[in-house]
Amino acid sequence: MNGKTIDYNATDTLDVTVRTDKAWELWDRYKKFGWVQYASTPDSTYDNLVHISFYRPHRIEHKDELQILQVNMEMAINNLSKAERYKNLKSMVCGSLIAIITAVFVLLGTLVPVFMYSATHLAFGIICGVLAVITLAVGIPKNIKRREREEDKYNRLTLSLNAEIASACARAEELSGGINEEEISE
Amino acid sequence: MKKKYLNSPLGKNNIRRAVYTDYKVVRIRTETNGWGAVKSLVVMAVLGLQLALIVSIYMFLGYLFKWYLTLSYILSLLTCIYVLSTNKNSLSKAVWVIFILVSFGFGYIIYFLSDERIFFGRSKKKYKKIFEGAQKYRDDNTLPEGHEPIARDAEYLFKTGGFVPYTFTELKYYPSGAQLFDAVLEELDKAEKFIFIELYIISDGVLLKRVLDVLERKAASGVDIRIIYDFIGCHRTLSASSQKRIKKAGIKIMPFNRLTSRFSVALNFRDHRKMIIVDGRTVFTGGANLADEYINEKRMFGYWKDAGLRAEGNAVSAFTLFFLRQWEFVTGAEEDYSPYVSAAQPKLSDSVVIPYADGLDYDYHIGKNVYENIISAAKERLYVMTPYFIPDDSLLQLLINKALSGTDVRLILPGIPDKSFVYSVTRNYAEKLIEVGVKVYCMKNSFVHSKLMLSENCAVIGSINLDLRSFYQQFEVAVYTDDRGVMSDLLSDFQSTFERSELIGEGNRMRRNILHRLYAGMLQLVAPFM
Repeated sequence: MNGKTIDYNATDTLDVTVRTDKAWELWDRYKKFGWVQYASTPDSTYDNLVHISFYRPHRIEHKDELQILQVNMEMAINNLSKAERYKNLKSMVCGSLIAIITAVFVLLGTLVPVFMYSATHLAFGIICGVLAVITLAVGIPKNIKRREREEDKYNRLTLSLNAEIASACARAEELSGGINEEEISE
Repeated sequence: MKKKYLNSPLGKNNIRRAVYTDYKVVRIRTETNGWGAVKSLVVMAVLGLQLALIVSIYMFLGYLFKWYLTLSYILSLLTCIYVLSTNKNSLSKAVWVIFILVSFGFGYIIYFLSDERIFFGRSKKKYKKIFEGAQKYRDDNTLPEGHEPIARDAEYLFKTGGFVPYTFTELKYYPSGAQLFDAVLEELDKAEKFIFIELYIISDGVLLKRVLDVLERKAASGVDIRIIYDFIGCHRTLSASSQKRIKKAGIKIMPFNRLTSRFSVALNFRDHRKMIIVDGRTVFTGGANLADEYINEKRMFGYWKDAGLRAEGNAVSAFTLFFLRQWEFVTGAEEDYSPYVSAAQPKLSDSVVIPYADGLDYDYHIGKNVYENIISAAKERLYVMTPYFIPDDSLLQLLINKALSGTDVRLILPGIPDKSFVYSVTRNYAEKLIEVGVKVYCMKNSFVHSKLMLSENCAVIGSINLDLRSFYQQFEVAVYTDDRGVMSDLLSDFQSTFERSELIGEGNRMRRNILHRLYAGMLQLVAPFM
């Protein structure tokens, strides 16, 4: 195929844009679906993106199932990445909220008695201080538990998605029978 | 998308490059025709202006002459009474009555402008004339003995549209667009006399290139090739250069219902039929259009699940007739059908095949009514696959009753929607059925585009979705059959799709808070136009 134009009647092509750090891993996975890489170009805007072009024979056996498996694999890879990216989202937001609320109480508790000195304002400052301590005492352990739950959920999700990717690739390899690149290019 | 700029590895040149920060690791490249979108936006804007002008004139009249408000209110009430007395479906009636009463200054005018007897009157007369002229080419077969379970449906199809049952027709079912179009290409290559293509969408891409390579060759060898495409369906997908290439090859190509900038509800009526006829001896029909996503060579909404059917034998003449009548309508030129409709060659098969069409060219809503008849007659099982599920009250009630009577009713819907607002309404309706025992499946990571119905008596494969647009506003085509081979293939396809789908139950229903309910209710109001 190198240097030759692609015969679109005999060959199917696939253009994929992937993250550079995952390119080799994905290239290896697409191979299991009968795809052979014939071009790879870095993205003109993004440093960490690469465009890969694949081809495979148009009349490949079990094509429908291979296509379904491939979509399942791509979705699982993207979901895995999404899960990784957002795995601690809730605990991070809650942690930030706890920090902000505590900071507000601490600031109010300190500044109000300093600038408006009276018994009432002093009492207000003490209440704010107590509230800041309560927020920290209640919020931190709860958030730690939330983070643990998130980690647990993420680990379970990662396990199931990795299993899905592995099973899709294994089944695809079984169906495509491992494509011989030289055979195709002839 | 968040961008973080870094210095280029080229250093000295100081070219700033961004880092891709979307979570997606893999993206499949797809293309869209931006010029098509601009064209439709301009037309929509012009149409919107015209609508605004109509509304302003009537509002202004109301402002100038106070009696006009009283008069228009009375006229609106009379129009509502008229709407309620028509044979429209109850949802359409409700939507129209609400619209007319809310906008009583001009609503009744818009209703009458939208009445098919007014905007479609001339076209209807034209169709009537074409149908009368083509009457002599219609076959007069009767249902052979031994097919009693489908006798009532056959009679209904004959009485409403003159569709007759055919035997000596061989059918082959294709569970995917890729398989369907491989067979289409092989058959096109064998064409010697004519190729007729009627499709809702024809799109630039590798599939069109493959088809055009064959068509160009065939046109050069003297094969008569004609294509009807839907103007709206293709306006963003079929480029001017592709059309030029088609015309240059000597292929006759005509659009159906061209998009104009004159306000007309007729723009909503589209040719959704899908058929490719080769030499009058083979026809391909089903849900798939001529575009790369239908064969999964372009990724739009996950895996694209489609289906198609190939018919060889006597029944092909019915499709040739459907095509030629539509060709005569779009070209306005009278046609001698005889060299084309008599080209069918009988095949050894005793199954019954009834090709049928639906659209404004018929007086009944045949597509919907055939589905309803099949639902009514099903006793053991009723399996449905559809991309959109927006039934009217009668069809919904029939499905409910069927499920409550113990029939195994199952519905397969997409797991990934192509239009999120239509999907909201679809899921809303489907989830109502779960409560009465219908098993609703969503195919994982896929967009289901097949339009299939299977009972223990018969199967329907065609272009007819289970939604109000297909039932009331689109020109459709389908095959009704009791062919055991096709029914068994369809059953296997359904069973393998069930395995790849998620059964919707309590745990995975759509969220239903007050905002979602309000949103779904509002969408329901425009459901007749979806």
